[in-house]
Order: sequence, then structure tokens, then C-alpha cells
Amino acid sequence: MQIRALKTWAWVHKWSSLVCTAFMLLLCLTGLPLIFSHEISHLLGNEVEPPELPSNTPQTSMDKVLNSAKALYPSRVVQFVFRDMEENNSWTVSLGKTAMSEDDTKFVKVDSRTAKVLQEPKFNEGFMYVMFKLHVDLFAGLPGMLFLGLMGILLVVAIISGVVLYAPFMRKLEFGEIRKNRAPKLKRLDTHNFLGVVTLVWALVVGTTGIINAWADLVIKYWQFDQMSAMTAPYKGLPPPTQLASLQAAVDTAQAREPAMRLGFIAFPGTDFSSPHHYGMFMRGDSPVTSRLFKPVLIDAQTAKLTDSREVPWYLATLLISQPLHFGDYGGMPLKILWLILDIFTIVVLWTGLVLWWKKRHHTAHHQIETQQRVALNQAYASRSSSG
Amino acid sequence: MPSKTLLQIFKWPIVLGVLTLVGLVMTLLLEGGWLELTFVAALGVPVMIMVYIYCLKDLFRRSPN
Repeated sequence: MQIRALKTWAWVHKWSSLVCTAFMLLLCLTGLPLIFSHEISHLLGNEVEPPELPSNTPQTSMDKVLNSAKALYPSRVVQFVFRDMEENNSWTVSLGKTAMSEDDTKFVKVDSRTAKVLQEPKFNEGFMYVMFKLHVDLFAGLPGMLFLGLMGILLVVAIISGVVLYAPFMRKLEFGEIRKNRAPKLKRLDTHNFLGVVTLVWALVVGTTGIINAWADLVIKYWQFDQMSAMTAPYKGLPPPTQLASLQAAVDTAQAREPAMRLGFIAFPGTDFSSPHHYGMFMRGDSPVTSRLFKPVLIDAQTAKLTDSREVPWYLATLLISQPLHFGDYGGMPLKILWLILDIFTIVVLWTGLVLWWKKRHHTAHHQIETQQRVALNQAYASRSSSG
Repeated sequence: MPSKTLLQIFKWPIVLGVLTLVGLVMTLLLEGGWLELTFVAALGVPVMIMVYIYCLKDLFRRSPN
């Protein structure tokens, strides 16, 4: 490759990495506990499992589940009712000050067979919450998310330029050769190149899916504008319902519409995922991929009758499918452990890259001062000998 | 050592990259099935090679002495 082209790539690699490195280190470090968030909250006792009951114990009515939660916070508005993909015997109800409010939301986990309150999970405080917020938006909301997405784009640029620069460094080296007995600089460089090239594809996948996730809020906003508004068009201008229909009846209608699917979560009237007139029932498929996609079924909140249901559009499907590839939560504990190791090695790549730059800069600066001193000395000597 | 060609330089990175990608995607497509673990293992190969070369190789070399 021409020297000039190589210099350009080196410049691109240096600056794209430098700008994003601090944030990438933060994302890698906060990402570590997030890989095991489920296990950690279990260990900390933050997650209460529903008790063992005979497996033929029937599920109780959703209205009873809802009432148990509402009884704790009668002045609050129900926003969502949800459960994990593998969860069969409980629902978690979120209650806000209003349907759209995001601060001080209360969560109540209810047994779906007995309608007994199991616990009040604290999703919005504690160590894991801080890690999560730092990882997702730096506590800065949408601008924070988009900013981290931009840093992700720089990471992808740094990775691609890094691959281009890998070749000239490896002309005389075997794959995986790390010169440990020579100068520390060479060891650092070889480590950076070797770990960088092996973690390459994983980092690209986690990086690009992270960039996609940074757009999540905007994608959802667009979906509301594009699809939700079309589905609920006949209700435009009507006053919101004063009396809500039975939740169980609404669930039954949605289940009758999609008998092969499983209810994932319910968005209550007035939230981001429904309209003021509807329950948004979000149904999961049963295959590995379709279980990640939520099909919305809109149920009239006053009559519990079906209003509309549409397939998930491509942009929302892309977002939902990209999520597991970012979280690493789809292959059980073995995959989580691989995610952990790859994350740690990525931290080493970032760190060695940073130190390489720092030492080189320091070295160059030092070299410049030395040259300047020598020039000054020479000049002084020359002027003295000419005057004398 | 003579200068290596591009193909020689990128041979192993490509093999490990393909294993990583196949492992990541197929595990997602086959989630829950018995084949799933096979593809988690495909992703495990590059990781094990990395751990071996970076952390363990020297230990093994030193141990006989």
C-alpha cells in the first residue's frame, strides 16, 4: 500500500479511536454487570420468584392481578403490565403519576395464579440502575442515547481502519505472535493487534447493534406516527373512555385473534404503545426469532373488542432482532460467559491502544524538546564564537 | 522471514471471524434447540484460541522447566 494512503488510514484510526475510547471504556465496564443483570438481581435478592404450586393450578383473572397492584397505589395510573419471556406465573404492573410520566414509577409483581402481591421491584434505583443508565444514555435521555450512538459509529470506523492497518504490521509476524521479550511498546502493539483482530467480528456486531439500539426511542416514535396513528384513526377526536372494560376480556379478544401467540406485555390507554382509547396487546411468536418480535393487537378499551392488528414493520423488526445480538442473552450461561470474556478483551484492546498513543505522543514531544534544545545550544555557541 | 501476502496475513482472522459470525447468528436462529450449543461452541473457538495465546501459552511453555 502507498505510504500516503497508509498515513491517511493511520490518521483515521487515531482520531476515530481517540474520540470514542473513553466512552467505549465506560460502555465496556458498565456492560460487564449488565450481561449478568438477571443473575445479579437474583443474588441481591431483588427478584422474588412465584412460589411452587401444583402445575395444574389455573391462572386467575387479569382483572384480579390488576386490582392487587392498584390496591397498593389507588391514586396512580396503570401504564404497563409485563413479564419476562420465560415467566409463566407472574405479571409485573407499572404505575405512574400519569399514563406518560416517567419519574417515580412504582412496580408491583403479582402472582398470576393467586393474584397475591409478590414484591415491589425497584427497577429505578440501586447499582444496576446506575450501570444501566450510564450504559444507555449517560443519564441524559434521548440526546445521551444519540450521542453514544455516534460514539458507536466512530468505533466502527476505528475497527475498519484498524483492520487496514493490521496488514502492514503483520508482514513479518506469525498470527498470534506477541513479542513479549522485546521493548514493552512492541508487546503492547502486538497485544493490541492480536486481540483486536480476534474480537473484531464480535465488536462489530455488538457495536452496530448498539448503534441501532441508540435509535430505539426515535424508531418507536416513528412507529407510532406511521402505524399506530393509522390503526387508531377512526377514534381521532373522540373523548377518551371514562370506564375501562375488563382487562381479562380484552386479553381474551387478543388471544382469540392470535391463538398461536403468547401475550408479552399490555400497554394501557394513553401510554406510548397504545392510544387514549386502546389497550395495546403485544404478542410474541413461538420461534426463536418471532418470540423477539412483538405483534401489536389493539383492543378498544371501552368495549374489549378488536380494533386492528398489524405485522411489525421492518424498522421495528430490525431494532427488536438487534437487541439480543447486543445483550448476549440468547444462548444461556455459556454465551454470557463468552460475552464476558470478549468484553474484557475489548477493554484490553481499548486500553493498549490508548497507552500506545499516549507513549508515542509523549515520546514525540520529548524528542521535539530535545531537538529544540540542541538547536538553541548550537545557535548560542555559534553566536558566541562569531562575537568572540 | 519473507514478507507475507495479504491472504497469509488474513487467513486466520478470516477463519475466526467466520466462526464468530456463524456462532452469533445461528445461536439466535436455533435458540432453545439442541443444535444451539454447537453454535455457542463455534463462537467459543475464537475465544478459546485468544485466551490460550494471550494468557496460557507462556505458562505451558514455562512449566516443563
